[in-house]
Order: sequence, then C-alpha cells, then structure tokens
Amino acid sequence: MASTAYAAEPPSNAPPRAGVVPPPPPPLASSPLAADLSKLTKPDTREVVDYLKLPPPVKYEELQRESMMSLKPELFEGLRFDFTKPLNQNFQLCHSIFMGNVDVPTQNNQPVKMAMGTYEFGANLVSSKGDMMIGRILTDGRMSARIKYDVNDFVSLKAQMNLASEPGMSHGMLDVDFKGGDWNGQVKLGNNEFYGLNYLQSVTPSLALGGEAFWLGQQRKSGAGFAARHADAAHVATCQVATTGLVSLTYLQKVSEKVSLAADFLWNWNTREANAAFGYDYILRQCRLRGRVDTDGKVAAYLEERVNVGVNFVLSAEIDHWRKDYKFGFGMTVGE
Amino acid sequence: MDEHLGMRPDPLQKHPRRFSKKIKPAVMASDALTYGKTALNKTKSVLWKLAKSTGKAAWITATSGLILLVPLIIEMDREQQLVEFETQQLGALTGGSAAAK
Repeated sequence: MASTAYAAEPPSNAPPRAGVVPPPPPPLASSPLAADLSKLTKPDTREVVDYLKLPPPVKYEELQRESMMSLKPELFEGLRFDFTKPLNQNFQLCHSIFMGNVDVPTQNNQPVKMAMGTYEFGANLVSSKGDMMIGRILTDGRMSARIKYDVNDFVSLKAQMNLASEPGMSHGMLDVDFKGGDWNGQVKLGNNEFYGLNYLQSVTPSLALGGEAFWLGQQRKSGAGFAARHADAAHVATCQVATTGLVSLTYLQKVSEKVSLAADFLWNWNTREANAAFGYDYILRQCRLRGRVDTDGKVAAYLEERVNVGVNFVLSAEIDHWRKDYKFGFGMTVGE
Repeated sequence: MDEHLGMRPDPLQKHPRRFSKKIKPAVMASDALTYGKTALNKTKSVLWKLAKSTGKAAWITATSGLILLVPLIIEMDREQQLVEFETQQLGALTGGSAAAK
C-alpha cells in the first residue's frame, strides 16, 4: 500500500514547502510585460540618419522664403497691368503699366502718398543650364539688371545692379555662392565698400544652422548674425538674430496641401519695437488668396484669380486702422 | 456798503443770521439738484463714449471681416462647386460606362 502511494504522487523537482503553492504560469501572449518586450525587440522603422550624407540646406537668403511668400504679398494701390510674352523658349519680353499711389516714408508716421504712373519694359534670357539674365527699365529713369551664372556644381555667380536717376541711389552687388554637400556659403561684394559673407550647414535632416557677417565700409558699420531653420514636411520654423539689434522668428504650418498658416515676429532691440503678423495662404486651383493681420493695426489681403488660361485678375487691399490709411488696387496679369 | 465792481455781495455773507432759517433748506435742495445734474451729465458722457467706442469696434470688425473673410468664403464656395461639378462629371462618365456595359 505504501509503494502505491509513492508511485501515485507525481515526481517534482521543487522541494515541497509547507503552505506555499506556486501560482500557475500565465500564458505568454497576453501579459503586459510580454507586450513591452515585443515592442523593444521589434525592428525600428525610423530611418537611420547618416550624418555624413545630410541633405543640402536652402540658400541663406532663402531661409525665410516660405513664410515671407505667404505673409508678404506685393500689395499695391492703383492699377497694375503686366503682360509677359515669350518669344522663344529662352527669351521673354514683359511690359508693365502701373498707375497709382506710392507710399513715401515720413518721419512722423503720417501717410504721405505720391502719385506715380510708369511703364516698365523688361527682358528675360534663360539658358537651359539655368543661367539667366534679367533686365528692367522704367520710365522714371530706374534700371535694374540681374545676372546668374553657374560656373560649375560648386561655384555659382550672381550679380545685381540697380541704377537710379538720383545720385547716390545706385547700387551693385556681386554674390559668389559655394555649394557643398550639406552646406551653403556665400560671399557678397557690393558698392559703398560692402562686404558680407554667410554660411548655412545642415546639422540634422531637418535642422540647419548658420550665420552671417557684413561690413559696410563707408559708414564703418559691421554686424554679425545667427540663423536657424527647422523644416519638416508640414512646417518650417526659422529664427534670425543679428547684432544690429534685430530678432526675427517665423513659423509656417502646412495645414493641408491647399492651406498654409504663417506667423512672423520681428523685434528691434534698438528702438524697442516689436511687430507680429499672422496670415493665411490658400492655394486653390482657381485662385491664390493671402490674408494677414498685423499688430500695427493693419489688415491686408491679396487675391490672384485665374480668369482664363494665363490671364489672372489681381486684387489687393490694405487697411491701416491706426493711421486711417486705406489702399486698394486691382490689376491684370497676362502671361505667366 | 462794500460793493465790488459789478458783483453783488453774497446775501448769506452779509446777513448770515437773518437768512439762515430760510436759505438753508433751499441751499440743500439746490445741492441735490446740482448733484443730480452732474450725475446725469456724467452718465450721458459715459454712454456717449461707450456708443462711440462700440461704433469704432464695429467699424474695425466689419471692414477687417470684409477684407479677410468675404473673399475667402467666396473662393471656398467656388472650389466646392468645382469639386461637386467634377464628381458629378466623374459619376456621369462611370455611370454611363457602367450602364453601357
């Protein structure tokens, strides 16, 4: 009888302790600890960042381009008519008429307008490589020219000249752009002994940091600045600080493929003035509508509506509630 | 009599005791009247200022809304009409081809 009792008891390795019954092991698939473990061991789906092969950043002068395009449309007062005629694949002529008022900057912040009626003739020559020459001449004696020439993949030259009939208002600037794998540098030489240089480096796939320095010979002024740009598929945020006392922050959010919202903050340390602006940019198939509200008490809107193929109708409105200055303009743009 | 140039002397100053019993209640009544008048004037000016600032706010809101919102609403409406038109066209094409089959 004793032997059967021994044989019936199942053999166990654990020493039997009085009063302690080990709990049954939980099933593996449903425990929370198992879920965490599986998350840690699952393959990482984020892209591995190769810090030696970062994407090239934008040019330093185009750091704030997206938000500036949304927030600063070319508002005008009066009638504007632009006609662009392509003579060739590479050559275009443009004629432009403007009749309206132009703001004259005054000391005491009162709106002073000057009536202006001009005809502008321009020619654009674009080569298939990307080089271009653009010239404009106006009936009030102003001329402007821009030349862009790519020497090779690494170096590119740009020149810009503005001539005016008043003495001392003409300037010229030569830019030499250097384009590295993940950095952009530029050296600027201008008249009035202006020397400047800037540099922008990609630090991560979305962050670029850089700085600039300039020296103005005639007025013995110099300055340096620091810039940062964080760009994603859905947003662009930039920050620029300069020793001339300007702090500029911009932010643009692409809410959808048709709608962007932008905000801009400018702070002048010397005059202790700050200015913020908020705007929207609707790019629809038939039109492009940009609106903005300012802390200076200005409300502005700019509408470009496609009436026909290549024919756009333009409306511009700006209301300055503080100075009681109302500017409305309309126009037509024919050609691209 | 000490007559000032063209100014009549204050009766209360010259004969204080004779006028005290008759003028005191009259003075108190005129005090209440002036108090009431100034209160009314103050209320009128406050209400006028409130009306003016409400008017200013209404002007600013209306003109800013006209510039910012009205073109947006018009354009969004046009876009929506265009999308509806296109889906209708697409439905007509696919419906027509399905019916033809």
